Amino acid sequence: MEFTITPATGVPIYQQLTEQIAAAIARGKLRPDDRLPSVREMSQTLVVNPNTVARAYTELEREGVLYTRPGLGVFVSQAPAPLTKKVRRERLVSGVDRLLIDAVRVGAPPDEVAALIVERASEFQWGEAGASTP
Amino acid sequence: MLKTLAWKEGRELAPIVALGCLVQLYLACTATGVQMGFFDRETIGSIPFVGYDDAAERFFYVSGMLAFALGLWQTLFESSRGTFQFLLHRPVERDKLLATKLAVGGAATLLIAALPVVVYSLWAAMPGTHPSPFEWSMTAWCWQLAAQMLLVYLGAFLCGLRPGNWFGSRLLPVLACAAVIVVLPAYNYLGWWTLPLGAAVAAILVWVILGVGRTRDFS
Amino acid sequence: MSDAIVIERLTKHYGPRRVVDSVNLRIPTGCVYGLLGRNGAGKSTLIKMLMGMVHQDSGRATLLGNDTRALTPETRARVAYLAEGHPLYRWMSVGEAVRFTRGFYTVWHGQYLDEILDYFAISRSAKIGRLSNGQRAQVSLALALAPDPELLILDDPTLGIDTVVRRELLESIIHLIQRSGRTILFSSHILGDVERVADRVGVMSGGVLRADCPTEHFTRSLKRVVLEFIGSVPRFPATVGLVNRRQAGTDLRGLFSRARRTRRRAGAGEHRSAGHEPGRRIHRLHPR
Repeated sequence: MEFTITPATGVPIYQQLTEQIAAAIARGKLRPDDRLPSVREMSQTLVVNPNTVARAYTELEREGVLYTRPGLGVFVSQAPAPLTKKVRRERLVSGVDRLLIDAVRVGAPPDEVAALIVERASEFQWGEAGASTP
Repeated sequence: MLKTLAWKEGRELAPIVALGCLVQLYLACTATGVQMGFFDRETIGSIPFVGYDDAAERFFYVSGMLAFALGLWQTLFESSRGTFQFLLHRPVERDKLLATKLAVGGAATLLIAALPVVVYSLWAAMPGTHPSPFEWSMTAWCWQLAAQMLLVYLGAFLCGLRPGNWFGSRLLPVLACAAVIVVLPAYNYLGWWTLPLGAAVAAILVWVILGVGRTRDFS
Repeated sequence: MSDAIVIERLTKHYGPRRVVDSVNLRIPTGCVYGLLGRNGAGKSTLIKMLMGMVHQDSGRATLLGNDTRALTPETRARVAYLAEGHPLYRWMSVGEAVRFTRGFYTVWHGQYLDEILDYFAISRSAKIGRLSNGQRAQVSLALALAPDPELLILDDPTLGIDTVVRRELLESIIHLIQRSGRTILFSSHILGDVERVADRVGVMSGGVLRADCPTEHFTRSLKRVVLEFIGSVPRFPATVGLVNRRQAGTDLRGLFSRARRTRRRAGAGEHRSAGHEPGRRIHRLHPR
């Protein structure tokens, strides 16, 4: 499992790490109950302060993405139960609007955007929801 | 703790000490009349320790120059490599660190200064070698002069230790002490008062050296 | 928990120039503090004053509670100092340097030293003068760590070391952070290194400490500005908040930080977001 840290981008390192771990889980590269490298291992590999790694793990644990077994390590949590459609819409609508603003600016028509979304979706690991649409 | 520092200083000074001893032995041998090369013809003319003594004078020009080199070597070597930052951070009082350097350098100075005198005197003391009567007391001024070489060493050490430009006050101690090499060997008889005076000057130099070590910026 | 390093209004002039200008800084025990600044910003002089190598013109500082103008041997034994350029006696072999340094200390943990030398395959009989810059830095670090110090002060440890080897040195530094309670102050001109390693960041520029805050705040405060020129490219003017600048072709790229001095919160671990989005602005300039 390869993680990379890019300094001097304005994004704090712990945040880069949480985003990458979350992305890896979403893409299915990390599956539920997979063990993540220990804080020490990760900090040595990435050449990053161990406190930063610990901070990333703690944040993800707080969000329920990871869980800790004392003495054994940090593991990926089971996928959470899907939220209701209403809540899902609330969470996603602003991201979609941002995407659409960019699309208008570059001149991409709506069906091109939709096709792109479907194409990219295949990169990710969906729960029961992803099984339906081609 | 200071033993390890003394070891290091000794190892660093070894090349100069070795060179010095070799040169002094060479000079001592030529003074005894052994055919050695280009110094021979001149020394046969004078009789050591009696009257005007060319040979012994040479011993002190050499030991003076080497004392000068030792003092500068111990200080400039550290400055140029930045190793003062390393050395002065060791958990020992700064005074003790400098005093250890001075002890080793001083001992080296005395060794180089005294060696030819010892060698030559031993030879002269053996019956049948020396063209004139020999008494150990005749060498008294040589020992005094050897001790005064310490002043040259201390002056050079102070010169190397003091921060600042090379011209002007920084060179002063060394110029003053250089007078010792130039002037004193010409006197075969040094009054007894030169020894305590020399000791007092040496003490002052050591005190100034320790003071500079405490107050200067090592950057 | 008291502060490992306290600096109050420390000032140093060289002639008319203020090389260190009334710096105030407190570094708590256990903190890894990165002091960032370009060469000539005064970081090294500040550190030398902390180590009692250079005398300040005004102000005071303490290391582990001990005034820096009169550091005792006991305090020096608890503090490791890696001076700039990692000075060592080049004529010594590595083994001789170990023996030499060991003679000064009563506490000596040789195992960490052995680990570093073995890991980086540095032979004990190698002459220090023949080692590369990176290897010499590793040896210096190993020697500094053997007395098991509570406080480490590293003056630009990656200076003069190329990128590949720099990473190895940073790995060594990361490794020694594992032990809690150990305070580290290191200075660097490389933003990335400081971001990776430090808990808190200080930025020095022109002798003044312009920012002093948790690393995260500093990172979020960074703004990148790219100026595209047609024709000749002038030098990037020295501006307050400029952390990094370089020229790439006909562009001038500058990295600015808007970070200021923020007080430490007593309970570490809770950080509030600074609240602004990092961004990238591109300005195209055409000189008249």
